[in-house]
Amino acid sequence: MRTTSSLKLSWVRFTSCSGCQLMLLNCETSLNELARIVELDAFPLVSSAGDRSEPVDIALVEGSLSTPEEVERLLAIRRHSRLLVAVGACALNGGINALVKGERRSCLAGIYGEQSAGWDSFPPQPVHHFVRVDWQIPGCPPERRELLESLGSILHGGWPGRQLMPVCMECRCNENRCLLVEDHAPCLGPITLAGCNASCPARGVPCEGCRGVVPEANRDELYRLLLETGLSVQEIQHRLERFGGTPHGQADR
Amino acid sequence: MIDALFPSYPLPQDVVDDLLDTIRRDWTFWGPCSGEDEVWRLQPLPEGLWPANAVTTFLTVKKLLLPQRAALWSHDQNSYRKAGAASPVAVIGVPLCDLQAVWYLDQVFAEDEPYLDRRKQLLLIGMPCEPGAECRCSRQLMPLAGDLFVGADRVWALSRAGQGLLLECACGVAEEMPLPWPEGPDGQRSQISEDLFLSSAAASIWFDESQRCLSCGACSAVCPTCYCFDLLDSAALDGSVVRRRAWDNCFFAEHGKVAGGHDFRPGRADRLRFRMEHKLLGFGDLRGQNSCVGCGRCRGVCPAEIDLDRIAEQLHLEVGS
Ligand code: SF4
Ligand code: SF4
Ligand code: SF4
Ligand code: SF4
Repeated sequence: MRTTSSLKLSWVRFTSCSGCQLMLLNCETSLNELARIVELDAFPLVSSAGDRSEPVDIALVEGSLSTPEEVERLLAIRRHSRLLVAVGACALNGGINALVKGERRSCLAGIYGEQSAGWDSFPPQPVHHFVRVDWQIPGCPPERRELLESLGSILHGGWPGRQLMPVCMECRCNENRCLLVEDHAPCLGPITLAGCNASCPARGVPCEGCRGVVPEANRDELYRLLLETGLSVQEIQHRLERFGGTPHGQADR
Repeated sequence: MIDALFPSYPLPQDVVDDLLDTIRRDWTFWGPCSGEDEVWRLQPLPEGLWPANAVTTFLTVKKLLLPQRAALWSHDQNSYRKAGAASPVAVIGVPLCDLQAVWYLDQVFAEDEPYLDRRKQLLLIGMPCEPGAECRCSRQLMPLAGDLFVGADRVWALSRAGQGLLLECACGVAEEMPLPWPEGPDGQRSQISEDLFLSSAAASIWFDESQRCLSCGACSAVCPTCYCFDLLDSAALDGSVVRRRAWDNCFFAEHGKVAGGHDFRPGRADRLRFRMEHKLLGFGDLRGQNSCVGCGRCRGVCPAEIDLDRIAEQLHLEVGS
């Protein structure tokens, strides 16, 4: 068991809403303990000191990438980090950022105007498209419990036990009324990675799939069931695309 | 054993009250409650509320015996702790099929300490049910577990503990009688033989049905005799470690995977066939013991309308002679 306080941790942010960082900061009762065992190299939402590009033990990477400069920065971070952990839907699958559609130049001009004419930019990409990712913490935003269990296990030399199973399993274990079967609501629980304790269906809201897709998901059958809920083909496509990139765990580990 | 007789006593209302008071002294009452969402769940019963009959609740007493996710032990630098002891619960309103399922779990977990700790604290009180359209129970299938069975005007002692409670309440003279099984469902189930199953590996039915399966896990979660579990270790920031046991499921992608990357059941068709093998033929010492008690829960929850009985019938048509 590791008890030294020498572990260096860096939180790196690309394009994101910073909600993932906020979730960790929301773990108020654990922050003292965290500060005791790690030395923070960078944490944008906590300190304006940028990352010092020094070697770190763990880099937590939030956000998606869309410029060559970002890719270069990510490559440098990978080189000087012992472990790299991708955190949140943007880092894992592109997230909400990746919804932007259409020709890149006109997208940029639409938001930034003429100044964007010479910018080099590509559609938002997840972290694993460029570097090896050692561990993934999914969610939009991630669960506090999972952030703490992941950090705790990694800081003490292991990976936390986890189950790659669909939200439906947690939903049924909690004896929730099934919104898809009983109410024909467009719930993405059957193909979405569990871990949130089915928090949306538990409140009567169909799962949006924010934790990404479970390995070996049966998209065909869910597509058929979603058609039965009355959604149009286009609506279904949008719903499935929103968080539905690479199945969890199949990026690197 | 199958058509077993149990000591049965007449049950006038004053004895009912007496009996409930006696049980309440040592146990907390749980029973079926329906929420606003029309889902029946086993829950602690509000004072004075008793079920009129048994209900096939969403999850069965399985959730009390093998909780969905529970710590087995934890340790930090200074100490090792086993999970705390279960508290005594009397579950009232359990249908006969679910009592059979507990018998099955009792066989499987006969040497499992956490299970036995919880099992010892459980008083199981069966009641008559009203069979629904999905019911396929059968008294011939297997023995049942339980302590008492409370009918309209008679009560049966199913165990020594149940007998003791009845003697305490002076229930009159015992008569050996069979339990009042519901008339409808018996005999409606499709069985398959070992031979039929073994020769079915290439049957197209597995592929056809499994194409629709979402691997959502609902069928096994609600099944009273599904018991696969996973062991999950994690560490907190302070270095304390906890090992938890959580429900697993043979439809999940990692269920058949072992060290080195081999997968015993690489496709959905293999997984569906595996579940069917467990339900209709059983494993290990219980091979030959059909473990589907016919409660119909899996049919009711499956988004893809996959039905083990229909598969069994199709197998007879496709593979049987
Ligand atoms: S409500 Fe959604 S997540 Fe819950 S069981 Fe139904 S489909 Fe699955
Ligand atoms: S239920 Fe779905 S949308 Fe809601 S938190 Fe869980 S994965 Fe995200
Ligand atoms: S297989 Fe289905 S019908 Fe049989 S015991 Fe399990 S849930 Fe009930
Ligand atoms: S409930 Fe139906 S769809 Fe879900 S795993 Fe079971 S058979 Fe497959």
